[in-house]
Amino acid sequence: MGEVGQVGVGWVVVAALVLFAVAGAGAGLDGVLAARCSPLVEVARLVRQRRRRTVAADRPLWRIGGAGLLVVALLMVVVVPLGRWTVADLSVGVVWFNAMDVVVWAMVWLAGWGPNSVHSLVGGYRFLAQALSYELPLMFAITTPAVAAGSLRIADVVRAQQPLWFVVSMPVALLVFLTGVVAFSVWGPLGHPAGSDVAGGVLEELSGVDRLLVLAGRYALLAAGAAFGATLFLGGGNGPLLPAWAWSLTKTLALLAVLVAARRHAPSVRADRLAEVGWLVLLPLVLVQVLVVAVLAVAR
Amino acid sequence: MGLSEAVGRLAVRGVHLLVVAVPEWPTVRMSLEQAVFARSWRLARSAADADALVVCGRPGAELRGAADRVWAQLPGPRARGVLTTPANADALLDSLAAELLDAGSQRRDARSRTSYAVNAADEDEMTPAGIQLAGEGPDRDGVDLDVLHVPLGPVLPHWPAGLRLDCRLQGDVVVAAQARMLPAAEPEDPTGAPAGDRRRAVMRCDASYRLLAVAGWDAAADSARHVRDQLLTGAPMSDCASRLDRLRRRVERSVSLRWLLRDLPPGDVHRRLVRWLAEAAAAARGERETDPRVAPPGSVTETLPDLVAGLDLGAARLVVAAHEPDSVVSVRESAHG
Repeated sequence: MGEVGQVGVGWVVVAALVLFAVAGAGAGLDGVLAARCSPLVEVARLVRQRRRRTVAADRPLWRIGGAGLLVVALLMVVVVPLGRWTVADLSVGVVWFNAMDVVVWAMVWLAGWGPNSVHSLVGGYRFLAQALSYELPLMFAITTPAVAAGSLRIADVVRAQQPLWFVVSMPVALLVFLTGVVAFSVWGPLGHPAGSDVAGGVLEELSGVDRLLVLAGRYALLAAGAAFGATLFLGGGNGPLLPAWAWSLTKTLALLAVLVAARRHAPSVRADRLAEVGWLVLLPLVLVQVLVVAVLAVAR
Repeated sequence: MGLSEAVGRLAVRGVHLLVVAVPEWPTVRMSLEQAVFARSWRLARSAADADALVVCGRPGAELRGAADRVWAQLPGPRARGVLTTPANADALLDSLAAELLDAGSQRRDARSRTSYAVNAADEDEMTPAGIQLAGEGPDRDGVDLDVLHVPLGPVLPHWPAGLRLDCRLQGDVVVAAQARMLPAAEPEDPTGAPAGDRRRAVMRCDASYRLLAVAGWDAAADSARHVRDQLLTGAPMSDCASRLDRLRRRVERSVSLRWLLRDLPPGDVHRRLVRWLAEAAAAARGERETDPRVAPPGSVTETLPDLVAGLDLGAARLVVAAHEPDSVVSVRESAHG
């Protein structure tokens, strides 16, 4: 595969469409696995539904939080190359992704705070508590490939994975990274901030197009996370026979399928329990992983 | 067929339905849930999530009032129904779908709705939009924190029918609670409802389904619900027993579930769930119950407040779900006079 290179600004639209298509594929797979109707039915339902208004809501902040997830996902994929093409070849691409996933904190919190409703607010609290547990391990997990490649530029990280993908030398970092993606997408076992036990938490008061934006944003975050993981750990566009873009897409879809399939198969982890895992298990594990990779990088 | 009609037809293939469960009407509620899932509709998690609201049974005046207040929060298009006979569930869902597609009646409904009006005289700095600000009180660590008075129930997903838990919340911690049952106007007609061993198996299965659903383990909850629905429709009990055994082993082996349910009062919620599934299987095999452990009426509303005090909302929900709904008091409005 050739070098990853930056494409013109006009391609941003195509990048967004690819993200939506991948997110849509994720939603479709979830529908199949849960024996539900297709996501198109849910879209039709929500497009028809009126927007709910609550008393003394903080409307601007609520709407910002609701629309924000989709925006953050779009900003994430700006630095993720599809094969040899990337929209923005930033010298700090890895840090950019990390900055975006921190913005998710604000967005989910605002979505919980905005409607002036107890269950939503509790969902917001839960997300912040959850974020305190997953964010540091996630940061170290995405630092690991950068350490191995000796660069924060994603094109360099992809080039460093020839011929061996980073998943071989850093499987723990990949697992911790995927946990982080599930957590910032408020998904499955880490979907407690939107749990059924608090009537949907941050989703409780959302209806119509507002709910559609948040649900779509969640799938988009999962898709963006899968794309970033495929690039950082599974070699991105590297691979035989197929063109580079096809490899990127295939690997992204494969990771996304794993994330989507995981949703129904584990109980929700409450924030206090996640803190134990985050700080006592994930963080030490990923630190050891960074150490091992760093030693290997220095020895080379 | 216009575009909006096409969108509408697509939309009613996946209606989200909010259930108002009435105490002593479990068969009606379960039949409705079964019909909902059979056509790939879904149960709504909140009023904002719902297109339709169905009251399962004949509620007393207070519960009916609560259902009315929830109904006022459905965003619309919306449809409402009452189910009192399990056999009518499918017909009711058909009529709800038709109602949701009826543009004329939806428009009339939307026009007739009034929005919350803020009385200027009630509004000042301490009561924005006429709502009293939260009070303050010392929390677990002695820090002054807002105290909110929040009723949980009676309309919540996977919540015991008719239970209302008035909580004082600080953050997401329940500081204190009071429990009350909002009774039914009359109990359901037992003819046609499962009886004897089948009924015991169904009720245990249902309780397990709800606890698993609150715990967020959707795959296992769906399995429990599938078996429940099979038992409800008269499938051979021996098949159901072996499926329940498999589910019990899966639940028993789950390290994560055990870890998440440990330390919750009273005793071990994970073991209680495993026991329910074992009892459901035993009942399905026609074995006598060795240890019925039926809570005496009224006890749940007395014990729950102490159990949930000091827990966060998520843990409190699990503790409530760990009290089997059918042991929750069966008092009727008539009993109050």
